Amino acid sequence: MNWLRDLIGKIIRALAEWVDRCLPEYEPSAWNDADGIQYHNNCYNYGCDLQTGTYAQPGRASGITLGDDDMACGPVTNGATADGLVPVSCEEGCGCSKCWHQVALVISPGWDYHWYRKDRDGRWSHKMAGSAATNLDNSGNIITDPRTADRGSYTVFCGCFCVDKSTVTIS
Amino acid sequence: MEQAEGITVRVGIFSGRPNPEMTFTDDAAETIANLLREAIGSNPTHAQPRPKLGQYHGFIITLSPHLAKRFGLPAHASIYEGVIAEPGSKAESGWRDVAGLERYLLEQAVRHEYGELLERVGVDTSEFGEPGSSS
Repeated sequence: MNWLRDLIGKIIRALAEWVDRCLPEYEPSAWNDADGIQYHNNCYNYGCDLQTGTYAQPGRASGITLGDDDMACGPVTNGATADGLVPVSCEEGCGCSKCWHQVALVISPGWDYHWYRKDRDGRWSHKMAGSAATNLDNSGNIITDPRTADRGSYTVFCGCFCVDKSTVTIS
Repeated sequence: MEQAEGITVRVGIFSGRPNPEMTFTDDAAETIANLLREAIGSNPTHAQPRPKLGQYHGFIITLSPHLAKRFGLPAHASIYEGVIAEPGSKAESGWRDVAGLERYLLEQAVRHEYGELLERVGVDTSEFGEPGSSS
């Protein structure tokens, strides 16, 4: 029966690899060029794993402009969902019905928004504006959960979203 | 603005929203280009420190192609905590800001009335005048 056990193992591994193909690898060197890629892509680009070079803004591709009064969960969520991001329970995750990966939105109230993304290794990483991408929080700890990470003034956790990078539209 | 000779400097305050920008032309652009040229290549150092979310995270400088060519500079440069990142270095090396470029840009940012924003992200701008002052 060894052949059956081996076959089942191969099927499980193949299934896991098939699901993993949708999850972004933590590969900071693909973003941190200290040049155009790094400087023209922000946390939203990084979260969606899409290098548009436009410093993408939630909703802009759909005609939504976020203003000074929109730095709260509602308006930024509206912009993101207009772009094709889908709100999801952080515990449930995104599953594999589409080629999803998971991101999380946080807010510094009245000031700014910021995104994290869950990588293939199960940890989270992020990219602050034109700075280098990292998987560390403000305290220098690897981010295992953005809800408990040291986020400085970005104290409001809005929630998690699913991204299918082949269908979302950001600009 | 004469795009051919201009420099745009983005002030590192926000993570997601577009950051404030300053544009420089003519003598002001040449001053920045000279400070950048003085620093680049003169004193190699480690990578820029890792900025903290919600804190000041330096300046991103974009030179017009003509100016970059004339001064022999890269099209983009960033400076943070006294380190200019080496373009193409995968953000792993840089040069010390021996010319005082970051201080000059902080002073310019205060003059452009970004002092209050900088104060909110942890920069002490008192030595450059009152936050929000246009003088």
